[in-house]
This record gives sequence, C-alpha cells and structure tokens, in this order.
Amino acid sequence: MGRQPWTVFGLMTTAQSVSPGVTASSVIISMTVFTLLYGGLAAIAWWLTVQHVKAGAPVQAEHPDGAEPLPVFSY
Amino acid sequence: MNLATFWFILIAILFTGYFVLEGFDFGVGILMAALSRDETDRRVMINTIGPVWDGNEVWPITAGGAMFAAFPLWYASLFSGFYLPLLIILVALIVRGVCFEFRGKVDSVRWRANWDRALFAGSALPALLWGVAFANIVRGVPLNAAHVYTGNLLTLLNWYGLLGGLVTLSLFTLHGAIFLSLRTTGELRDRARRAALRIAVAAVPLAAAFLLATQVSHGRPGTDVTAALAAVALLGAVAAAFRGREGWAFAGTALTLALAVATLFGDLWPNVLPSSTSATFSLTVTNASSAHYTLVVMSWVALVFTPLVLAYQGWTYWVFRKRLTSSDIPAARPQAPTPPPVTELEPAGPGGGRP
Repeated sequence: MGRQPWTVFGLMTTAQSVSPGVTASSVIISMTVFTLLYGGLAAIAWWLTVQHVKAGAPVQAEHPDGAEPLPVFSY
Repeated sequence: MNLATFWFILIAILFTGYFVLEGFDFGVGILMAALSRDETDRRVMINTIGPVWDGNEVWPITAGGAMFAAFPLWYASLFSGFYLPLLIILVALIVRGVCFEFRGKVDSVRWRANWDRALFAGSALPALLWGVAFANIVRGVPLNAAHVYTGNLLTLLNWYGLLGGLVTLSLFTLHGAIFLSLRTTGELRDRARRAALRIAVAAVPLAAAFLLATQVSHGRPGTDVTAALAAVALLGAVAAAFRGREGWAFAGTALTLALAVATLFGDLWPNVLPSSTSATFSLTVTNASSAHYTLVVMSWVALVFTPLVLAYQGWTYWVFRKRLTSSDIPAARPQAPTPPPVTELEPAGPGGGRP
C-alpha cells in the first residue's frame, strides 16, 4: 500500500492507469471466473496430493542388469 | 524498413509459429475422443504432443509481450477491447493444460472421461476464438478517437468473424489429424488419415470462402499472391494426405497456416487495429509504436535470443521425431506402486532413438 497512489512512482497515478475501455462488470466477471477456477484446481490438487501421500512411496524399480533406467512417457 | 515495421513482421511471425505449432495441439485435443478406440489410443495421441504442447503455448505469450513492448497502444486497445474473448481463451488454455496433467493421476474411467471432455472444450474453444479475434482485427473494430474499443462481445460475433473462427477450427483440426497420421502407426494412423480427408471436405471450402472474402474487402496485390499460395498449399496438403504422404501433407497444412497469417497481416498493414468508426481513429504501425530507442533495444535482444529459442524448440522436435505406437505406452498408470519392467518400455533396443 505504500506505493499508492502511484502506478509508476511520481509519474503516473493508479487512477490514471485504469483501462478506459474495460467495464467494472468485465473485471468482476474475470475476477470471479479466475477465483472459482483456481479454487477448484487447488481443491483437486490438494485431494490428489492427499491420495498420493496415502498410497505411499512406490517400490524402487530394480535394474539387475545394471541398465540405465529409461524415461517413460508422462501422460 | 523502419523498426516498427520490423516488429510488426516479427509479431506476425510469432503468431505464425503459434498457429502452425499449437494448431496441431488443438487438433489432437479436438480429435482425441473421436479417433480413439481405447485408453491406449488416447494416451498415444496425448503423448504425440506431450513433449511439445507447453512449449508451443509460449509463442502467443511472446507475441503478446512483443505487442506490449513494441506497440503499447495496440496491446492496450486489443486486450481491453477483447477482454472477455481473451478471458475465455485463457480459461480454456488453463483447463486444457490441466487435463494433460490430471487425467492420468486417478485410475478411474469416469475421471479420465471428464478430463477428456474438458480437453475437447479447452481445445475447440480457443481454436474457434483465435479465428474470430484475427478476422475482427483485419475487419476493424469500433474504436473512438482515443483508440478505446466501444463495442462489446457480440460486436465480434459478426459473420466474417464467425467464418474466420470456423476456418481456424477446421484448419487446426485438419492440421491435427494430419499430425496424428504422421506421428502414429497402425490403425490409429489410418483413422487419422481418413479423418483428415473428411475434415478437408469442410476445411477447404471454409478457408477458400474466408480468403476470398478477406481479399475482396481488404486485399492488395501482394496478399492476393499469398492467399492464392495458401489455397494451393491446402489443396496440396489434402492431395498428399489422400496419397498417404503424411510428411508432405503436414508441410502443406503448416504452409497454409503460415501463408494465411501472412495474408491477414499483409492486409492489416500499415494498420495494426483499424477503426470501423472512422479511419482516422485507426491504430497504425506508426501511431501505436514505442519510441525508437525502445525498439532498438528490443531488436538487439530479439536478435540474440530468438535463434536460441528456435534452436532448443527445434531440438525438442528432433528428439521426439519418431512415430508412437501402443507398445510405447506402459501398461501401468504413472502412480502405480511398481513400474513395469524396463524391457516392456523400450522395445526399439539400442540406437532406437526413442526417448
């Protein structure tokens, strides 16, 4: 908050830098959409994390012939 | 050629790279449900773009960044004016990216089916909306004397904008089908090739109508040539797909997209965002550009880093150049407790080059 009312200190105020063509309703829509989207993604990510923790660490693959482990397609 | 024109061309090249590369990513996402017969098919299809889709999405970010730095007024009017369409594109791209990452995380048919539906929507929506956006940029949008957009979301949904949207949607789907036929084997490859020919039935007339409408209203002699070449490249791509020459077909659709972008930007110049309210309110390469010194600094930075970026992106494609088969897909889910034996993962043996 210390930088208020400046966007660029001493040159441009936040009031001057508001986009003239963007309506308040547009900003409310995008803010709501992103909040819901990231909230939902955070909930899913948290749930997945809990599932992975509960499943425990995978058993380490054995490479008896000393071969280098090969990368696997991730999807 | 002054530096502002140089940056206009560079932004056109960045969007060309985006549509050529992300175009087939969108196509794969759109076609995944239609062309797959089982879960292995779907994973093969996702893995054809797996190593590259996120890199491809850096192109529009770079293009937007270049617009912001080289033409701040263009960036301001466009991103404020197209606020809600760009929001939809951004949300779709976020959901799409998450689909790739999350669909394999839970071993459940319903879980994956839901993400696959989201992947379809997240691929089809931006494929449509990029065309709507670019058609409207060329057509011109209502801008007032301060270059502020005075229309709304529905202003952009005119017949020309929607036609442009259908063109990118159908061209990207065609591009994706040809990419899949180039990157897979067996039945999936055959299905992708047949799908490409069916999509071409819609894509070719749509693209021809759009290019014709564009050139009638906004054309100039130079872009008449690129538009005609785009049509030739598209027909050549379809002919090559018909004959099973997938590499040539892919080069053809890539060239079609590049020439189409060249046509649109060529028609746009010297404007960057024409005003349909009054031609004197249009944003041009001259009145929208940054100061000369800014452009000089940017040009040096771009000259140093663009070859580097192109080199590592090209290298990624070179590493992942082989066709994928169902045997490349490990049977177990990624989070399964015991990974399958190494021999099942790598049937190609030494020197196979398959990552």
